[in-house]
Amino acid sequence: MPEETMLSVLEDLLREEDILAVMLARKNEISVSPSPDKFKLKDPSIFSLLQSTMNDFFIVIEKFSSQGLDKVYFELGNYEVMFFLISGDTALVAIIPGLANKGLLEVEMENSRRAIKKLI
Amino acid sequence: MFEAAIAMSRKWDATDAGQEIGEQIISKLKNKPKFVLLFSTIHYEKHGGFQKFLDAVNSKLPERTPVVGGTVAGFMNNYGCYTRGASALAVYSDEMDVAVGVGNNTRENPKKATLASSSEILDKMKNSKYATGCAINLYSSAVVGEYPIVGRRVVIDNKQLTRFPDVMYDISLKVFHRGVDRADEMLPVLSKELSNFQQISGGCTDTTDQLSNYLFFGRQTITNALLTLAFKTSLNASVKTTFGFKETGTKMLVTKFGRDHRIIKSINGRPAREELLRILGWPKAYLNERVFSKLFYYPIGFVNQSGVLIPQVFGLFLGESIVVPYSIQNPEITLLSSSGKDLISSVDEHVEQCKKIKPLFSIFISCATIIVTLGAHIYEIWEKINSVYGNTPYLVGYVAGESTFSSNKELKYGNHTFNSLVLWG
Repeated sequence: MPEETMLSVLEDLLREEDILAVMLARKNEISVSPSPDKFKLKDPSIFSLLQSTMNDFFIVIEKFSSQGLDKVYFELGNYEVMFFLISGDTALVAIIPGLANKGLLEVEMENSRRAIKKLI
Repeated sequence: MFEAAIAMSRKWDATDAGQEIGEQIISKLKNKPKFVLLFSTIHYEKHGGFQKFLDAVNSKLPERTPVVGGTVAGFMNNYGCYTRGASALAVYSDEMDVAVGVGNNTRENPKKATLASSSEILDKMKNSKYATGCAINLYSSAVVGEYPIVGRRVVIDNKQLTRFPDVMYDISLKVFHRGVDRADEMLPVLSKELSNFQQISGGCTDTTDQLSNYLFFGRQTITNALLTLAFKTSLNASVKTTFGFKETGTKMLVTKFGRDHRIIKSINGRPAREELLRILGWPKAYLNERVFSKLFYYPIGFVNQSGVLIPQVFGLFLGESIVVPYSIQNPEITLLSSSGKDLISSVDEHVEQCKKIKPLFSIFISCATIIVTLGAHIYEIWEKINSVYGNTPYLVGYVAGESTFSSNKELKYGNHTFNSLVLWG
């Protein structure tokens, strides 16, 4: 997997004003993400928590993937987390502000997902 | 001889992106473009500025290439759909005359601005021998009003300020040059003055926050203006507007209007805001600065004197009054409902038309609320369009306020619409 190219896709996405943190999460593997010092989170512990619990998420995600699970959203305090599934064990994950213009961000999330799919 | 090409840049820096756009146009066309239609997202405002962007585009193109465009919430082309970057459609035909008209100060005097722009077009086109006329009208869309004490807001509750909504509307428009775009005063004038032109129009915008927007003309950025790119050609052309909503059957009667019939003071004999919330079944807490992401699903419409439904989104809550973008010409208004499925199927008629006529290139203008509402599902629209266009160049701009006109069709304008200008041989 060309991780450097993948990282450049993630770094490009992170330049969006309202993408506060981003990673490519993979089940039972180390996730790919830009350096955390590039994140714009006021509370960085949220990202650490997400990173450390991703394997638990994939257990649930795998159960629904045969039903066509494509995206997962949840609100977390002042933030919102978007999961765009790439396969049953890989997901593009981004943290955005709770009141961000989600529609426009989703389009660029989708473009990043398509770019990563081409690389895998 | 005819050729057209799509250029695109996803670079973050204004100069890099502009150069890439210009270089792609030059490499894809064998001839000097007759015109370049250029759409960009607003983000270059903070990544080098639009002056650098336009300088870079133009530095790569032959002298005096007409480059016309503006900022959009997003764009779609043969490569995909994007909410960051820039894209251009460049066209050459040896049987085409092109003219650009500009009208300034549209918010203060839309009629004067429109006459200035259209007379420039008519003057430059008077000797053209080609039968088909097309006009792409881009204007500065509404920007959130600036009000004393509260600044720029879309929901204003200050009781002292909102006692006189007409005065606030006027101050914002005339003192701060912010507020509604008055497109509904420009479009009928354009229809009359350029009656032989098939027209497609759109209001340039930002991320739909409506804080700023720019028009592009050559190396100039323009605000508070109307820009018309017109061409006469031996090709055939047609325009079409379709809607992405359904009528709910819920009718409301506006019982008191404010300035320009764009301020709704009361509905069904009750204060407008209170009555709207009652009809929607919404709590007052919904009325925060992000209320429009919910209201996008509930546009309203009225039927004008020509029998055409004019759909529009709500614009601003000034105390108990509601400001809308387009002047309401009929006090009976209808609540509309927009679902993702309706928005996606709004392109079907355009796609079917293209299957029959095999276009050489097309320009689409659609409502920014559609891309905001659909998010990643916008690719369902792209797949429909791309399945018939393939490599035939097309460019969609997502704007705030859309319109089409042709001499054999009524003027159609509003929000939540999908519009096409299709050219074929």
